Amino acid sequence: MSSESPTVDDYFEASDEYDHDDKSEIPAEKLAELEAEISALQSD
Amino acid sequence: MQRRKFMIGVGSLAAGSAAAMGTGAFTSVTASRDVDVEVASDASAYLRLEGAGGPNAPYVTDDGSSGTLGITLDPSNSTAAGGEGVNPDALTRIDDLFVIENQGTQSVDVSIAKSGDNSGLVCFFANDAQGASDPYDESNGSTARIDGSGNDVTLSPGESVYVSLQIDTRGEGVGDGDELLDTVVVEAVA
Amino acid sequence: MERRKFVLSLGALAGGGAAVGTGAFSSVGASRDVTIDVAGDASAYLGIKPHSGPNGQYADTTSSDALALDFSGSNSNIGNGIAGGEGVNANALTTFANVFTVENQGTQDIDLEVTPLAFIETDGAPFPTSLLLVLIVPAAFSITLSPGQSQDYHVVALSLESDGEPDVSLQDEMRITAEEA
Repeated sequence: MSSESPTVDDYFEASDEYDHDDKSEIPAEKLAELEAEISALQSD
Repeated sequence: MQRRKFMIGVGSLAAGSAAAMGTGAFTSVTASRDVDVEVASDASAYLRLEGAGGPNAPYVTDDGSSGTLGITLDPSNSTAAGGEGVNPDALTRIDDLFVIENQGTQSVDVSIAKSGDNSGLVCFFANDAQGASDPYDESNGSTARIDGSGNDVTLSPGESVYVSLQIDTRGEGVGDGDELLDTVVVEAVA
Repeated sequence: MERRKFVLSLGALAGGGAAVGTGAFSSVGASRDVTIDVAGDASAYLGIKPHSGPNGQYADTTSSDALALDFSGSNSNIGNGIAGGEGVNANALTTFANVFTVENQGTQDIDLEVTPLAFIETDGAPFPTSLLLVLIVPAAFSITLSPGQSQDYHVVALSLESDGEPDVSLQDEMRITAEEA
């Protein structure tokens, strides 16, 4: 797998139902916090 | 004498997606599993945040039983006796305002991050129990500051603390209408 | 009459195993044991189990012994592993590390995939919309496991409630697929 931490976008792409509209409701700063959490989880 | 023909051979016995005979390996398994996530009101969520009741309950505008905890010390929540905020040039203490309880599965370190125009003037103290004789004395072993850099309190599952507020406006030059605190983030980290 | 004897003798051999000789027979009826059991998820060939750590408590089992992720008041571990919580906090980002594990308890390499990895529910209201986003976080999106190898999964939940009240919840399914590699 790539050495970069996945983005929230990557998670939607990997999911069967990818609804662009829904994801656009998430504020940008929340996306950044999410991606920080994902990165922390995967570095353990 | 024609009996039912019974085929014996590798791979012909697959029942559903269970193991095939011979190589002893499955070719594929597909399993659908439930994912159920509820948002709970603060009083029943994994990090319980709930008004502690008692005489300071009027400052708690949402006690967390149906939504998220909210504390309001401003004109929109004036007291029955007409108070609209804390005093300037004063030390104000509000004991046992709300409870934080760990209703999850692992020990967490709990801290509070503040934001507001003068958030440094507001301090949050956690105590093991309600009604402590001095909830602001960090030397007594059952009181701890939980806001500010490096301050946190560890709660194992089922453990709780009562949180008291201390607001010190002495000599700070803040007066009528000045905002001290706007929001806090309660953070719990395993 | 000759033929009938032939059939009878073949029948006697069939009870013990393969027929030999000319290989011609009129029929064989051979009963063999075929045993296939259903195992609970935790002990099946594709092992799907709660993580051994504390957050494994958020993985419950259904009445048919299948794993279910349950971050709600119906999780049977509330009171003995989950200290009373019945859901995630509103207007909060909650991370659950190591909730469940998938282990290859078969005999050959498998390609493992879980989908979807992202679930989102909204209240459909115009801005500000309330929403609940749940991510299932594996170490890698697709992975090949040899027998005995496993992959751990974490869960991250983001709740945004415009009025602070819990309105949005999620009941969905994830599909775990393992194919021989």
